Amino acid sequence: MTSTDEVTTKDDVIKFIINYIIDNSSLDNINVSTHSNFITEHLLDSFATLSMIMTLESEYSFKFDPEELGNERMRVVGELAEIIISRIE
Amino acid sequence: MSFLYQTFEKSALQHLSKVAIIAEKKQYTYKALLDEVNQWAQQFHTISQKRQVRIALLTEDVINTASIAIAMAKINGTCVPTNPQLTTEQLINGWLATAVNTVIYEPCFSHKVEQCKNTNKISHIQFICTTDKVTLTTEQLKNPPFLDSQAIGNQYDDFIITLSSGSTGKPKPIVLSQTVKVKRAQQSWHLYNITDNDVVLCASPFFHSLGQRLFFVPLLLGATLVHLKQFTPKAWIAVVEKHKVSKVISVSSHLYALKDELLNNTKELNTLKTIVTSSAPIDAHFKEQLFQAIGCDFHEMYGATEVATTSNLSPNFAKEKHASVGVACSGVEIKILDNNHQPVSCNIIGEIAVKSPLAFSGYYLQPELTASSSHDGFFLTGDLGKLAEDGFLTYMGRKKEIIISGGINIYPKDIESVLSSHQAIREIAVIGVNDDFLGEVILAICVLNNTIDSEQNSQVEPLTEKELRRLANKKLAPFQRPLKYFFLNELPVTPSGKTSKLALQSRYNDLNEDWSAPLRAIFFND
Repeated sequence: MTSTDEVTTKDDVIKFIINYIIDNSSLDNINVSTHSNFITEHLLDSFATLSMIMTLESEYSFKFDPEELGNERMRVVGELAEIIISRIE
Repeated sequence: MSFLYQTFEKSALQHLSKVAIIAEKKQYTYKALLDEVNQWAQQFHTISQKRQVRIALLTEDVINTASIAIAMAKINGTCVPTNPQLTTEQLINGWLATAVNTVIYEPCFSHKVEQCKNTNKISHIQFICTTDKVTLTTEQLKNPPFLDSQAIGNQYDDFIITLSSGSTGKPKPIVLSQTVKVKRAQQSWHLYNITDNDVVLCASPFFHSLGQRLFFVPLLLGATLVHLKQFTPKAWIAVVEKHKVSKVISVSSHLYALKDELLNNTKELNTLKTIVTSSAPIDAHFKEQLFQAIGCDFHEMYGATEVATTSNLSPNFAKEKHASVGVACSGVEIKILDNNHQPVSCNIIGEIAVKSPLAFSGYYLQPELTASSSHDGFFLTGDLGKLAEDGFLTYMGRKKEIIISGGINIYPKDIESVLSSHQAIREIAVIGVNDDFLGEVILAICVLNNTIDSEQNSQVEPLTEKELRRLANKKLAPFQRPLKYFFLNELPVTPSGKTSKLALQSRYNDLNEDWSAPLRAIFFND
């Protein structure tokens, strides 16, 4: 798990998101990468997605802006990680 | 007739010089209590004018409450214990619904009584202050002018009418006969091995069914009742130590509050033999620690005012079946029913339905409500649960507390059980609040262990939330995870000491948040 007391890198966040998706997807044997779009690829259902947003905010101690959440980049693992890093730096 | 009084009198005469009641700094022997009962019985007989006396009790003093209730048993009257915290209108409605013709009140409630009298709805009700009781001489008490044989018949045998706290709508007037009250006390004696050597603590008010049980359990047996008017963990520990309390039946909110104190005060509590809890999330490990430290065992019970104690989890099964509330008590049958009142298979969640020889007589003058409260002789509790193959019952929460989010039924108890296992949590309530998109969303309202100042709170709460989310992500399905966590110093409680989820729902619904906005934004760019 990531702690905000240590320096968090983009790789840490990517790893955290990928692990979350693997743990919470209802699909078997999924392959998740930085390019995976967890909405269009149906990797997460709506509850798991909502829970992920809340988990990320809590883990990295920040709040997504409403406009940010509507950005399609948010749905892709690597780009989501980038947004998070930009917010917590 | 007068069965409860006869049971009391028999026991009192065998224990005349023994302490019956300890309250604050006063003690009363069985002789003193018996005299007080006879004083009140004579008073009621004098005022009855051959009609049945139906009194509402507006009392907090334990000797007043106990002696008046038992006196009512002696004259086959009806007793309606009333919560003094109710508003004038609520009090009057309760008295009218139960056909009360006399109100007995203590001087501290004079102001409230005057407010009630000022309405013109209750001019037929007679008000008697406890200080106005006519005192019989010692000679008269030896040979009372009023005898049992003169008791006025009570065709309904409605000894006590308990007004349910009614979390929604009107309170229900639950009628209990003297026979059933005695049998309920006997059930407790057998389940928890209570004898006349025991000292039983009552920290619940008499207008609550648990309070009534904790009055009658010791007093009908010749044991000692210790009454704690105002619960605080410190006061609880102090009375248990001072009066060598041996048996405790506690509401869950008291047990939550006491969790830390019990293990920190084992020396002071070494007289405690049994604690009975009702659906309190006290884990098996904690129970074992307490048993090792002071030799005190735990019983977990499930029940309702209408059907008394229904199931018991004895200490032998505390570890193996810690999530359960035990098996059906002797003579009690439990079924789990679907929405069409058909029995469901083992381990399927449905409404808990109970057939019990200790059941209530009905809701006072409400035959339709009474009829609709049962099916095929089984009382429909409004609680959800499941039965395992071996007969162990698991309580899942109130039917009306079920959360429906995105069309899925979610049981708060499942979530509370997981989150309350976190060491930082003292108490937790999971509720559903309104959401236009999902129907409802889940909130977790948490009370942290140990009192910390607000400055520390601002640091501890985010860390705890992070840990709770990790725990939820690990142990709960995505649809069961709370959307938001809130932290309070204490949870609101009903007058009977239960967590008031209704108050919490009202508070957080009033925030009028668009809870599911993040979900709609990310899915639909809404």
